[in-house]
Amino acid sequence: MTNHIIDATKWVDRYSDYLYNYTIVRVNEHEVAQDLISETFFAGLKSSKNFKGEASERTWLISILKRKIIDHYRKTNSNKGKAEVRMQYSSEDAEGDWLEERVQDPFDKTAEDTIENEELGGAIYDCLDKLPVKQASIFKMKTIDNFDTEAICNEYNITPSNLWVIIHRARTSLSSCLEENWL
Amino acid sequence: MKLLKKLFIDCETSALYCDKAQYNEATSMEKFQLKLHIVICKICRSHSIKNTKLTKACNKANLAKMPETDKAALKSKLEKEIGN
Ligand SMILES: [Zn+2]
Repeated sequence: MTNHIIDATKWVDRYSDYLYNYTIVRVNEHEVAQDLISETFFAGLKSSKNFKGEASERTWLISILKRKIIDHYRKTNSNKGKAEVRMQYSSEDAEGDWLEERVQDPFDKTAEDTIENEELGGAIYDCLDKLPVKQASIFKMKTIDNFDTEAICNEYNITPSNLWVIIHRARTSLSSCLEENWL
Repeated sequence: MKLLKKLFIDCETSALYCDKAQYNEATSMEKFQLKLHIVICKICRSHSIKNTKLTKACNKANLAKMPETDKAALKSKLEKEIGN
């Protein structure tokens, strides 16, 4: 018997970065991304009984988030009087379909690159998920936020040499996780 | 002789300098010592290549994350909701 108890108190630590990375490339606005993710968590909380544990929690949250983003697109598009964004989903997790819709913008010459980079970003986040939470957080603060060593050491109450050991472990695991398909 | 000894670092130190270099936090001396080490050490050379590839991949992916302050705010909002 498996129990699918949802621990929403851990959602922010576990998923907010991943969801943010996913959202910001699609809405391009920090405030909007922040709102959509917040709405996603609250919607998830409300419908947590519907979570069957068939998919991962993250996949389930992403599926809620996707609908929020589509709603947001529809709203902004109809505000501007543009044609409604057509989104066709064959399944809950058809991320690819959506990406294809986005590629079809003929003015976006860098779309192909963007897609590839986004896939790479997704792959990095998937690998980060396999690391211990603290290790992943410290790696992200150092690599994405570009916090300096001292700031992170203060935050986590660790020494610089602790920090570099953690960074080293994170980087080594990430390298081998990404090696086969991406590096 | 002393200087020469100082120039040669062990594999552990080389790994540390290599990581620091990924974040532009290695000094010129450290970078030089690292270069010297990977000329003679095959294992660290291949590690250094991999490590640099990871840095490039992270830059290319243009990763974003939620700012820590927003995270904290969202967390307390959520905890409040759960508490009710
Ligand atoms: Zn070596």
